[in-house]
Amino acid sequence: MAEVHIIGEITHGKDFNKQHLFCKWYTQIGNNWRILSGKKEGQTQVAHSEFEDICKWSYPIDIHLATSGVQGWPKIYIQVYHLDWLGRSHLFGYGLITIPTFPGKHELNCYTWRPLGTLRERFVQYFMGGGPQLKDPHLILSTSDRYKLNTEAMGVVTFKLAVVLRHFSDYGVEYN
Amino acid sequence: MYRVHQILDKYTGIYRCADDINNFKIRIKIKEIPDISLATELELQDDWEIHEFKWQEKIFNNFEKQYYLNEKNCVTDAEKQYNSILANSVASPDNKILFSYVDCDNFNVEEEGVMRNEANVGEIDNSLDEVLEDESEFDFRSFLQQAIENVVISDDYCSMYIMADFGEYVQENWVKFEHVLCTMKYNKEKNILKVHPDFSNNIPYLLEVNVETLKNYYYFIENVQEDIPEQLNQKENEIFKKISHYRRSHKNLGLNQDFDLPAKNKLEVHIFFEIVSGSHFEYDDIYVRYFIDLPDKWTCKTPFLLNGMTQTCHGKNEDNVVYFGHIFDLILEYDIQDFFQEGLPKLPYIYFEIASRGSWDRHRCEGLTYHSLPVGKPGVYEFVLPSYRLTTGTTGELRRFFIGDCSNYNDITWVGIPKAAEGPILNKYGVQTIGSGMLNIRMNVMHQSQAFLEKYNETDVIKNKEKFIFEKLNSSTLVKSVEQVLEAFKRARKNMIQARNM
Repeated sequence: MAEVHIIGEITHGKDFNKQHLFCKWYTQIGNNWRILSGKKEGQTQVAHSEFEDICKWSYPIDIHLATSGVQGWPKIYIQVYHLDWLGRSHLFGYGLITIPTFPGKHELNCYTWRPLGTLRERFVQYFMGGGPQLKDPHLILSTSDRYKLNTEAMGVVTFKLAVVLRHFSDYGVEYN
Repeated sequence: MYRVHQILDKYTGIYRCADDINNFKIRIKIKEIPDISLATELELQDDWEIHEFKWQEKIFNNFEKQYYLNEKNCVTDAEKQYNSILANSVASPDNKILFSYVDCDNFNVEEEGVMRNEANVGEIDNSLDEVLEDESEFDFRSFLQQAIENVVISDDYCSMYIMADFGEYVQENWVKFEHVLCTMKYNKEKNILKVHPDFSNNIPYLLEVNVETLKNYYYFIENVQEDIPEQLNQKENEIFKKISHYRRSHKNLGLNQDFDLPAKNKLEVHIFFEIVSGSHFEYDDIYVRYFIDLPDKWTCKTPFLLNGMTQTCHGKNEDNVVYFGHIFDLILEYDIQDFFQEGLPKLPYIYFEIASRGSWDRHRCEGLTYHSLPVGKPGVYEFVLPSYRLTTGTTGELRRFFIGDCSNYNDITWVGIPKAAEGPILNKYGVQTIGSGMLNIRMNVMHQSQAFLEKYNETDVIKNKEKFIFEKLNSSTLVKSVEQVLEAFKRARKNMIQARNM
């Protein structure tokens, strides 16, 4: 049984066209993976910056996983929301990254997108907010159904992660 | 008056050492007793020659001091080391009786208080293995039975002798007359220390030495190893507890304890693929289709992932940036025997077609690009792929504008090295293309094969880390053994066919 530590933070989000953002994150792992310690999902605070165009979250992530196979390598998927002045939250993007398979420090950019409605829906969205969402957010993990989606590019969420692998070489796994 | 251990009254003490053997210390006290019957308590109280020996601590006797000081006598490394020790110290001959032989002195005494059952040594290994194999059904009784039937005393001992030298100078030279006081043997694997004769703190051993006249010596063997401080001991226990708790918690996870291994003759390449983003494409709503071309010998466990399509993404800002974040996991397999037969394998390639979807569902080709899959070395890869699209002049552009020109190629592998390409030159002259945007992709690559297991790479495992995969596979004994089996099989089949034809 091999182990993986994922230690790091969700640093910031940028290139979203609005501030006051928060981010929900989930870890997705395969059947032969288990969480030994740490939280597998969470939500950041709402952040906005007076001077810059980026939202700094510095949200810590610390997960310890055990596995009996390489398959199902952990992934993190996120949902970014915008909180408006009326206290309504609007979906601002879905994103998905694979945890690097290489031990060490990594800076990862998660590129987010959100479903794009029809012209009429966009018109409503512009004035009223809201907009289409995925009924089942797990859909972003599936690769085969993606092509049905019509999306727009949103922003970039940056992760700083350190990955520690243990015992993998005992099972003939080469990672560097 | 002391009660004295008689010469025959010596036992071997067998100790299991929990601690490192290097912490072991033994103290020998020896004294000549002129007349045993007259010896009084008082007389026995002082004037003992005392020495504390650490494990494998070399003390020279007078003969050795002379002998090793002469460089001509020193041949082996150990002897040379003794020479340098003696040369650097002022080791004058003294009256000390005690000295020691350590493991590398190759000193040996036949007489030992341990019995050995050599007849069984050969069989034991097998039977022990059997016991270990089915740990789950561990039966103490059968284990005990086996243990009684096969008494094993491993030969792999590290020994040390504590000696007494009753020699004297005959003219210039020391004539040695040595006696074994104590024999210690330590088995590193089992952490067993044997002391012959056993420690004796209260009752001295008697040694009768016949040098011209009969001399009697009393000696004590004491274990003066410092006990582990209470605090450290406690700490150690705590750590052990933590470790066992940790192991138990792992077992409770319900995870399969056996890690998934690929088949013996397979190299598995796990690729965690990510189509990240794109930019600088002409139209807005961009999607990417990909196709992975596996050469012969490569197989994929999930063939439906070998081609696929991302969602459509509406670009933003002036660079028309599109984000996909499209992730898929591939497991490619390669038969490692082919490394022997064919040398370097052909690399799989991935081909991309970037297309746009306009109004009235006009699909236009925005770019074609390709890249080889970095299966040769595990790691994290990021690539920025520039792309171009095919065009056929003005008519082609008009066609593209009005009705779309998606998939206007016959063979996507043409953008790389076409499959049909033959001859020394790959000629792409005569095809009009227009440069287009960029595509960013990211790959995490991992290898897994039983050939990398440590048991097949006993030598230079560390060195292996720097080698490339082909060398690594070549150096693995698993690959070689598979190869041998295969050859034997081929030979057998040939024989069979021959026999049938006769």
